[in-house]
Amino acid sequence: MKPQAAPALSRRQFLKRATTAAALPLIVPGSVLGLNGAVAPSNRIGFGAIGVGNRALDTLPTFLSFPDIQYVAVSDFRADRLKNAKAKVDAKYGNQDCADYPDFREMLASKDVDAVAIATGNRWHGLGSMYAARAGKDIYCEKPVTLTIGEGRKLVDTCRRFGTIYQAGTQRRSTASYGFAMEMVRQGRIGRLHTVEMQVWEGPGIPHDKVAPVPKGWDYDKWLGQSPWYPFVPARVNSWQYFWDTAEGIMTDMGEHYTDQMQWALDTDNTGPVEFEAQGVFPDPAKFCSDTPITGVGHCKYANGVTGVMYQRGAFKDRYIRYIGDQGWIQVDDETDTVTAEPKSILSLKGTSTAGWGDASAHVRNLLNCIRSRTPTICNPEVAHRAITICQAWTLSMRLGRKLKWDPVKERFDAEEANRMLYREPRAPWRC
Amino acid sequence: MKSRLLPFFLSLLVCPLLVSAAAPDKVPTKADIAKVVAEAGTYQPGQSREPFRQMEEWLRLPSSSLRKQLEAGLVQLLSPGNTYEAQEFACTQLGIVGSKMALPALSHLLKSDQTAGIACLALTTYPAGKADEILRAAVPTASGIARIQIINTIGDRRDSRAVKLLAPLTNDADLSVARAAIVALGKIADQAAWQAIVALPKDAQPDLQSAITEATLRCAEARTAARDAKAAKALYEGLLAPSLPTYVRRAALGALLRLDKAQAQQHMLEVLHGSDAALKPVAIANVRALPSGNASAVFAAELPNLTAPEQVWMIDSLAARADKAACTAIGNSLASPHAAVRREAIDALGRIGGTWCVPLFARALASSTDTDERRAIQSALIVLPGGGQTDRAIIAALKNSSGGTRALLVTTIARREGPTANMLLLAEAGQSDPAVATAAFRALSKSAGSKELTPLLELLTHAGNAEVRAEAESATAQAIARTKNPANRSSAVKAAQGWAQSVDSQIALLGLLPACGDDAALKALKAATVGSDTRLRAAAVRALADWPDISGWETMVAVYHQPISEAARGLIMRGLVRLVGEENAHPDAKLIAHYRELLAAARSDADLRLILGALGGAAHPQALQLALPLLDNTGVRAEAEAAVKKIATAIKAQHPQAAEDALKRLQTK
Repeated sequence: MKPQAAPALSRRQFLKRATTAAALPLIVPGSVLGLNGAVAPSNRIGFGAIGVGNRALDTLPTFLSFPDIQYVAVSDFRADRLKNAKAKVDAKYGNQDCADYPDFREMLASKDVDAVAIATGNRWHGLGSMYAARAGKDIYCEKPVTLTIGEGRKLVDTCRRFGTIYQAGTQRRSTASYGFAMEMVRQGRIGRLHTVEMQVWEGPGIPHDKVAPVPKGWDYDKWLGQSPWYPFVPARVNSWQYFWDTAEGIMTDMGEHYTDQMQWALDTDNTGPVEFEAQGVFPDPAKFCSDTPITGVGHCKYANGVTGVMYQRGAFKDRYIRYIGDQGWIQVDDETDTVTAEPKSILSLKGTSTAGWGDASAHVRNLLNCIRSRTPTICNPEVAHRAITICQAWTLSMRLGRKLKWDPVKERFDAEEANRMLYREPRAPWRC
Repeated sequence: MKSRLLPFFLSLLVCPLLVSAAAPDKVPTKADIAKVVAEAGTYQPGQSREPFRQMEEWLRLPSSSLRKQLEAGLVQLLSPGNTYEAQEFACTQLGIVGSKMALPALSHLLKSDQTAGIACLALTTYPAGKADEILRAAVPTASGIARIQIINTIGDRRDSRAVKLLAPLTNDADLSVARAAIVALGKIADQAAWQAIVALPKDAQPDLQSAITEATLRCAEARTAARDAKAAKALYEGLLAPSLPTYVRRAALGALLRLDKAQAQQHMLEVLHGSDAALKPVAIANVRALPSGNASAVFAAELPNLTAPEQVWMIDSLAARADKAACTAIGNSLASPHAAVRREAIDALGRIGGTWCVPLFARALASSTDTDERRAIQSALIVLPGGGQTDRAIIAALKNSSGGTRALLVTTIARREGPTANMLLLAEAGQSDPAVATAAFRALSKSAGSKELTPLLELLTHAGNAEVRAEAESATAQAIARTKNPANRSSAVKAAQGWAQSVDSQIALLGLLPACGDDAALKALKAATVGSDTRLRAAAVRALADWPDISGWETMVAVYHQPISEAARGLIMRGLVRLVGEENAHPDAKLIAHYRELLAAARSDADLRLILGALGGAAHPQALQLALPLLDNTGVRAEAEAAVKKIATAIKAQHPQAAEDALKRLQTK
């Protein structure tokens, strides 16, 4: 039988045609590429780490488990972390070859480093990515991928400019449970989608603290990076997630995982909502020095009428995403990676994969395949930028205490004050 | 939904330590503002941030006159004598609401390394004009990090009027300044900036090369946006020089291919035929975007000349084109000697293929021994579009196959959930090949319903192979479970009993009666327990012991008292204990009566231990009375203690005295 000319299919058409729970994005396993056994050094991708704190050490074993990755260097502005990370990499390879750099810029100058894994504080995610891209390195970067919407657009432009292969650490795109939920939504199994409900947990208030000497082994000025200079206050430094200068709080810190899923399910990766409104409850300034919300709720509306709602409330374990349609709903509970749905018959379509978001292997394999083929990853800069934009717009709405209309093409709000909050000039010598 | 939200909004109302960002406030007087500004000016870490919160809240009030007063307060915070932290707060707010009023004070901050950063934080969001003048004016006299900061901000603000100022700085002895100036010119990227970049010496310091590259790429983008393709092309081509780093050449090639679509195909072929392996993936990745109608055929013809990884990438690109030539090439790749290429072709066809792929996949299946590859082909077949037409093509392929391949195709048909799937599966379940029949029954166990019940029973009664029969029994049980009317279930099985000839078939049918669950089925089982054939009697007892609910109690007790063997008695005892255990959720007098009957019928300590295990779950005071005497039986003492403890704990609230007495008795024992 001769093949017939196949009409070009959109991704949505393809997914609609699938009659069963199809696999996740097709990722050729390493075994097929001959990468399960020994890989010639010349065929390995040299990795370097920018930031080797707790999160970096969480994901390091996954990266180290790939035979086509050679971790060649680590960098951190804290000497204790640097020493610890080098020891872990050296222990894996049974040698002392992992180079350690107190300044990542020196590491980026190394020809041995092909790609970087960035797991710093949020203030360094976007900026560090841009430094890596300009040095010709490919990138894996933790979320939230940027500090501001403007920085996000610059990240997208920089990666396109330098042909950088970039992947955000939004691993749920490579997770069976989330992929299943997304496909069920796209296939219309819950009818017409009208609401996406998401939840992150309640943030803390950080008690006041006084200025203290910078601990030995810290390059505090570089640690601050693009953020305005500020005296070393242990509470601010150790809980940087909850200060406007260095982050934007829980809704932005964790919310990107879920807005990313919402964008995926809605097939709006290159655009976004057109309206945002959020309210937050901030810590009592008499008792706390942190200045990001403790609880809150954000609403957004897409041009097609679909509403997204993000709650910041409850306990850490209570986070979820729930797609609600006019004929049912489907929910993924993040802590347990459990999918529930109504009608329950939807669940019979679920595959047998049990790999949860904690297993980033498929995500990393996607990155490695794309680095070799020079094609965009499943969480490329545009995708990641659009997902975090939603959270960032909510925080702006919360701070300004008003509803904001958004033009996702021009990336401008209908309020000048909000537009002036789109970007923060980095503190020199750092730049976008 | 409302009930889920209520606790959340209540928490917002009652928490005393929290402050709502949107809470309205009264309009402050001048004195109020002056007081708060004075407090803010002395802020140091460790102190209350209330003055900052208050100012920020007032700034959100919709009053332009109030805004002016507050801006004046923010400007006041910038003056010497206030803490750095207060100045940082003021700059952050001025970046949002600042007007020309604040520019002189911000200008002053540009002079210091310590405050230039926060000054630019505010200035960068100002509209074009006066803020640009201030920044430009500050460059000549600024030094150190402040100078870099100002140049960076000028670049970010794309201030065309700064080109004349910046161009000479590209030769500054301080390489940090030169680098910042080059990058800023690249960001401005107008005609004058572009000329300044192009004029930079080719042998510039290595430290400046990356800045020059970036600026050149930015200028090329600006030229492209200005529809000056010729200039952009020249800039990109200059960055393809072999002496430049791989990533620069890759970036330039990618941009060039996007820019010059007319020449892109030829350019890509040259790259593929060339020796620069680093550029080939970029060329291949861009095949998908070529507008030319013959591009697929042209690049499909290149496949044999590519390495295996390059073929994988090319197939991915051709799949994105999904035209006839692309499909043909990808189909041919299913026969590649390279596993990775075959796998990519399989996945690609799963995405873009149709009915026409079925014979290709069938051939690939027949020749493949790799489990993962076969699974990938199956996955592709499952999602292959074409509905019934594709189903029929798979059935045709199935009829020409055998063994494992046929079994896999049978499962595939089931997973496609087409309307004719069950019919086909029933036909395949009757195949003589056990592997095929087993696969068909397994698939049917997931999909068969009342319509398939009688055909399944026929197949079950004719199954000659024990493994196949077991699968058939399992599939039939599932079909029974999906048959809503219990009478239809048992009548179908009863009819099958009429035509079943072998003892094995009769045994299998007896095993299905508990799934029927109605009176007729129970009677049929009871009759079978006293039949003449020993094997059938044993099978009936086994089935009876599996009876699903308490309705089988009397029949089971009757069989228990007149067992055909000791083993049968034991089976029924276990069945009875299971049933009372399942009734523990409703502890009442009837349940206690059942336990009493069981305890009386027990013939050994083993029986008693079994019963005590269930009795412990009966939260009823009389259950306690049944268990307590057994504490004196040393053979079951441990189980009795556990049961007493469990029951006493469960009834403690409703029957405290009985529970306490029982627990005391445990202590005294």
